[in-house]
Amino acid sequence: MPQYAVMIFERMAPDDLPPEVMQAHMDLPQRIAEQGGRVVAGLALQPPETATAIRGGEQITDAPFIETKEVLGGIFVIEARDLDHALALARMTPIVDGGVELRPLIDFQVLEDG
Amino acid sequence: MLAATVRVTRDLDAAEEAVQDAYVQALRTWADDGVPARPGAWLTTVARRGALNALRRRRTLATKLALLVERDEVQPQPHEPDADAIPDDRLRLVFTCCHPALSAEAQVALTLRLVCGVATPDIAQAFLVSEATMAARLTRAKKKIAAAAIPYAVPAPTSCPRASTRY
Repeated sequence: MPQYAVMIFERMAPDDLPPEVMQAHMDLPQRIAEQGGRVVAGLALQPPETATAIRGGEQITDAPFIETKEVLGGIFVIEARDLDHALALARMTPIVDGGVELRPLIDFQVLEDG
Repeated sequence: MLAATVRVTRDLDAAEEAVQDAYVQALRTWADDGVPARPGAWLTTVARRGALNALRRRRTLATKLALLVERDEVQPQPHEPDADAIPDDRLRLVFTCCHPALSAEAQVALTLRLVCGVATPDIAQAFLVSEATMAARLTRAKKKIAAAAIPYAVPAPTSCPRASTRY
């Protein structure tokens, strides 16, 4: 089955997220599984104030690479039958103010050492 | 024809190639044997058979499985396409071309090209862009259909209100 990265863009800072939204994030893999999909991996990012960018391999700046109102809060990878299925699964992502972007993944794996 | 062939190949480029090959074969065969009773069905059958053969060749190449076993076993039986199936296939292709994940411009251009069979230069002219620009736009759209696995299917009735907002 094809895999998609679901990028979560959210205006609200992670610390301000209401508990029910956090709970909905925790429940998401289970709900996705119930719909015939699978969460393969997930990353939750610290807020953009903690980001450091390296531009052109040289200049170090205390900011995310792209500054936007909606910040990239996290990424998870799902497995779905096709784009329609993936869209239906990604739509269940709890969002307060923002949205998600789906990107199909190139069939490529990074394995951890050992 | 293209729509019926895509259902076999699940790949727009491969289907287009198979359809073109079918026309070439028609030019050769019909000159000798005359035009068959149902030229459309004849072409569709040949295109699908060609697509199936190409698919199998590719699979064999990829897996390097024993050629002989495959060749003996599965002689594809392209069933005579029944009259009802064709509009369905065409509808599927329309839904693929007009998937909301494609830009409105790409949707129209793809539909004109693949469903209506309008030539790329003519579509380019209608959109007031160069032929190269339109060709690139079509290629990009086809690439997204393949990479993002945009389904080749008529959406379920439940998803229609959402889907129809862009169609």
